[in-house]
Amino acid sequence: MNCLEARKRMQLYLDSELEAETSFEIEKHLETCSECAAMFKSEQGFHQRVSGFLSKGERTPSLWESVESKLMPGRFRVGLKSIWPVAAAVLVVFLAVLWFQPKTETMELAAAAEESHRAYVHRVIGPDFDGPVPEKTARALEGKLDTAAFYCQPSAAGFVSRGKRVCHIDDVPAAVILGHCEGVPVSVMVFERNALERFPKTKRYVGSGESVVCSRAGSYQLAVRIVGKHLVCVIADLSRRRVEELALSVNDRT
Amino acid sequence: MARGDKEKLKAERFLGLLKPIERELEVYGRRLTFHSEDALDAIQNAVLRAYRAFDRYHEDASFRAWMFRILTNEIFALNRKRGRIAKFEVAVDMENWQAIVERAHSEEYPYTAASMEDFSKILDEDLIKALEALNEVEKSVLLMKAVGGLRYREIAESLEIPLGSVMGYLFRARQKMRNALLRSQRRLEG
Repeated sequence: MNCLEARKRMQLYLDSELEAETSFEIEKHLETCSECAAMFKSEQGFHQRVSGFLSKGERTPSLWESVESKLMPGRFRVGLKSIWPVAAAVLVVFLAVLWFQPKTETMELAAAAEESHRAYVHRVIGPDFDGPVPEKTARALEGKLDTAAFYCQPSAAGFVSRGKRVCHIDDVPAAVILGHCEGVPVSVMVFERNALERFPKTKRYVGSGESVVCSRAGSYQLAVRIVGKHLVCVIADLSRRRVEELALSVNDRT
Repeated sequence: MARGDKEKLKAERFLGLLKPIERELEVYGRRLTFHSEDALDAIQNAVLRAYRAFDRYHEDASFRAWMFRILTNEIFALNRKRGRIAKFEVAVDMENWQAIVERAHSEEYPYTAASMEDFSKILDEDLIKALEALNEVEKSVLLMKAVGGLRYREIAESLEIPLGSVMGYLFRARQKMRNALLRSQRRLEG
C-alpha cells in the first residue's frame, strides 16, 4: 500500500470501519513511512480531543427518573379502574356546565400565543438578540415580515425588554419581544397585519371596531390590537387592564 | 398472560435496553439542540414515542441506533418549531466521497503533523465555537459517532441517508472543526 492509498483510508481506519485485512496493510505501511505515521498520529489526536470533549457530560438522575416513571405500567389504568364512578360523575358535571354556560368563541390566536408565551415563562425559549435586527434574520424574513415589527414594543412605564427573537406562531412569522413588567414575564408578538387572514376568529373580533380586544389565553391575559401595518399581541399573567395598557402603549414604527 | 403482566414485561425490557445509553442520549440531546433546555423536552418525548413503538422494534436491529434516530427526529422537529430548519445538503455518493478525500489529501491539504501536534492545548470554548459552525446534519453525524459510538451504517439508518453521505458529512464536519481550531490556535500563537 502506498501513501495516497493509506491516507485515503485514514478516516475509515481511525473509525474502525475497515476490514481487518486492509487495516493490517495500513499498519504495515505506517511501520515503514514516518510521514504517514505522523499524520495518522496527529489525526488520531484530533479525533480523541474532539470525541473526548463532545462526549463529556453527566446523566441527570431527576430527568431519567421522571421519564422512567411515565413508563411504569398500570399506573394510570389501575387508577382509572378504581375511580371510574367518580370520573363518570365528573364528566356528567362537566358536560352540564358546558351545556349551560354562555356560548363564547375564543380567538384561535390566543391558544397559539399561549403556547409560545408558556415556552418563554418556562425558559424553554429566550431572546436571540437585542438591538438592531441581525442581517441574517432580516434576510430570512424578507417578504414575510418587515424589520419594523421588532421595534413595535410597549412604551408604558414598567415594561422592560429583555431581547427579541423570531417565532412562528401557527406557522406565521412573528417578531417577538420578550420582556417583563412588574417582575412578570411579558411576550409581545408582532405580525404583519395580513396575518389576520390566518386567524379568522381574531379578525372578526379585531374588526368589530374596538381599538383593543382582550381575551383569556389559558392562564394568561391577552390583548390584541392593530398598529399601523402590524397586528400586535401582548400576553402576560397580569390583570386585563394592565395588559390592555401595554398593548395601547405600542407605537406605530412604520 | 394478563394484559398488565405483559405491559410490565414490556416496560422492564425497554428500560433494560434504555438505561445503559441514557447518559449518551442526554449528552447527544443537549449538544444537538439549539437551546439546551429543549433537550429535556426532546428526550422525554423521544423516550415515550420509542416506548409506544417498542412492539415494532426488532431485536436484530441496534437499539442504540433506533433510539438515536427517534431522538434526532424529535430534536430536528423541535428546532424547526423554533424557526431553525434542518438543512440536508445534497447527498454525497461514494464516488463524490472518494473525490473529496483525494482532494483533501492532495499536496495543498493544509494540515500537517507539525501544526497539529498538541491538541490538548485547544480550549473547550474553541471546540464549542467550532461545533456551532456546523450545520444541523453535520453536527448530528459527528455527535452520533463521537457520543453514541455508532457505526457508519447505523448513522445512515438513523438519519435515513446513504452510507456515502454519512462519510461525506462526517468528513466535512471534522474538516470544519479542524479549520476552526487551527484558526483559533493561530490566533493564540500570533
